[in-house]
Amino acid sequence: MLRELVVAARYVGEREYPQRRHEIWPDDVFLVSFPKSGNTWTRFLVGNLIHQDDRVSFVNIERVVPDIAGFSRKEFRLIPRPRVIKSHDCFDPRYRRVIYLVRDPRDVAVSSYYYAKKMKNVPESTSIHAYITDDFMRGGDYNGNWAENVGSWLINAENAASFCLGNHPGKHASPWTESKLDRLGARGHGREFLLVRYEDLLHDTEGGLERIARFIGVDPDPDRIRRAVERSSADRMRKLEVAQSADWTTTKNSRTDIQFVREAKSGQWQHRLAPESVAAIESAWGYLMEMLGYQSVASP
Amino acid sequence: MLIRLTYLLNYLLRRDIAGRTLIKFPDDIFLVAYPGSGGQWLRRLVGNLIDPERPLTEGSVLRRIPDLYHLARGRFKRMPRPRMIFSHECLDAAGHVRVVYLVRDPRDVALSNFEQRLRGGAINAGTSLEQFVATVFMKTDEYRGGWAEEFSGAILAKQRWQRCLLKDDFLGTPASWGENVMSWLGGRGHDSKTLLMLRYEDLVANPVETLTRVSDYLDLGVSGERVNLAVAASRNGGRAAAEPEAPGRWRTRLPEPAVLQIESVWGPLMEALGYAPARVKVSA
Repeated sequence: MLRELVVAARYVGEREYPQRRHEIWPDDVFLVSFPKSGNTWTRFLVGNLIHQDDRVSFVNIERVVPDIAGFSRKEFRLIPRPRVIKSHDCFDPRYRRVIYLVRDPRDVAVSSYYYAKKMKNVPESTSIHAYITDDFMRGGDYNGNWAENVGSWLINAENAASFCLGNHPGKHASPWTESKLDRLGARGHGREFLLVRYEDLLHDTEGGLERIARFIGVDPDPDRIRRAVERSSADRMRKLEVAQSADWTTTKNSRTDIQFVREAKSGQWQHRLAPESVAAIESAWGYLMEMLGYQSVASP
Repeated sequence: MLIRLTYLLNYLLRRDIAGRTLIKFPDDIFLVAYPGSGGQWLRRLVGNLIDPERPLTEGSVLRRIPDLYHLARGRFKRMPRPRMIFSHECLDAAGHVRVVYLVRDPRDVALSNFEQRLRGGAINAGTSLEQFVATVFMKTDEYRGGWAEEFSGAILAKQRWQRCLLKDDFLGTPASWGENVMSWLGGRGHDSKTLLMLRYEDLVANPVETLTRVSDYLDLGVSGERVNLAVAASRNGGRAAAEPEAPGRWRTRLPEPAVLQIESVWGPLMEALGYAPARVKVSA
């Protein structure tokens, strides 16, 4: 009953956190990803791209690229439009303009493990393999697991057959090429969709940000893009984290001996994951990794 | 303001309708279908499978397999577990560990959805089927405000009162047929533990076989005889409504432009589900 009174009081003052029931607008752009897929870095990139005079930091990131889960109804309504909104939600039909950021699930697993430890969400003694099979790959959470989140955003009427049980897209088809990425994404139904692989963004950050700029409708001027990339470098983010980690809602009460901004690299799983962890991920989600060009290494 | 305050009172009494935000338990079982996909038939069959002694009636189905849109939050809380819940929602990962999803040929869904809304008074009596498909069924880009509740004429009829049970925003949205199906298929199509996708057409043509799949999936451990009983009990409602709609009615009822529109948007998806497009050619 006490909980209900608190909720009711919040409701009266429009202080509740509606998340999926926030009021959203056709000009909202959503930066969507499964957690630990490079979302914060991309938020910095986009924020620095849009706001040239106001350097993005952990102190102002929530204002510049707000998190749909982090605002009360009232606060959310006061954010000036057009907005770029960060979200980890599974497919939401209301999102009209979507940038979907995806990352190799084996790297996501590594990153999630350290994040879970940093946030004290798992006991210190939990091994990375136990974490992956018991937490990371298990479903039932709000954001889904990696495959649920990614799959719900990447399916469309044209590629739907690949998502039916028993159909493995790569098995009989031609070898994977970059252009196959164009077949993915919840386009149609009036939705604009941009798929960004974290690995591609790392490899060619300026090129990737240029695509994002065009999608959002920001002038893709090379100087402007270069500046935004510099201001969002892993080095600068690490320095900001040291200074501001106690001020940012995400890291406020977390362990400071584990960094939020970690390696900022791809392929870390190759020396951090045991073969059985890799095999578990690949055997469950290999079909989706195949579509995205994340080559499996364990034997089928 | 008055509606908001009345909602609040209902909330404190736990008489509000939580919709998609209902707090789930990990042992909940969900039956999900897009409106007009024969979800009521699935609900009846599964309910009778679980308890063949007490065949479901229109009244008891809401208590025994309630949907997210009509039952008060407090009643959900008091339900014996594991609860079985019916919904029209797009993919919801939270607490949805076991989901039986019913899919149906969208051309029949359009027709059934149209008739359902006409009956409930949710669309104008003068609206033609062709108009409905063009302006409602295929209108897939505006879900900012509450239309989940619009599907049910019952809610519309007592809208003012009902509004007091809902927050002044939507409960969730089934979106379009294709988006609803694809959200589940995309998220869980390869995970036979968390999703059992059934076709309405199979449920009608081979009810025993299809219901056995449900029983196996949910680990109900019921005998073949009980499956037969459940099917018989579902059919013996004594009224015409107890018989499921025959598949393929669209062939004679759905106007050509509507068929064309549905197939041109969802052709390959329909093909993948075994609903071969009739007017649009789908390249492999």
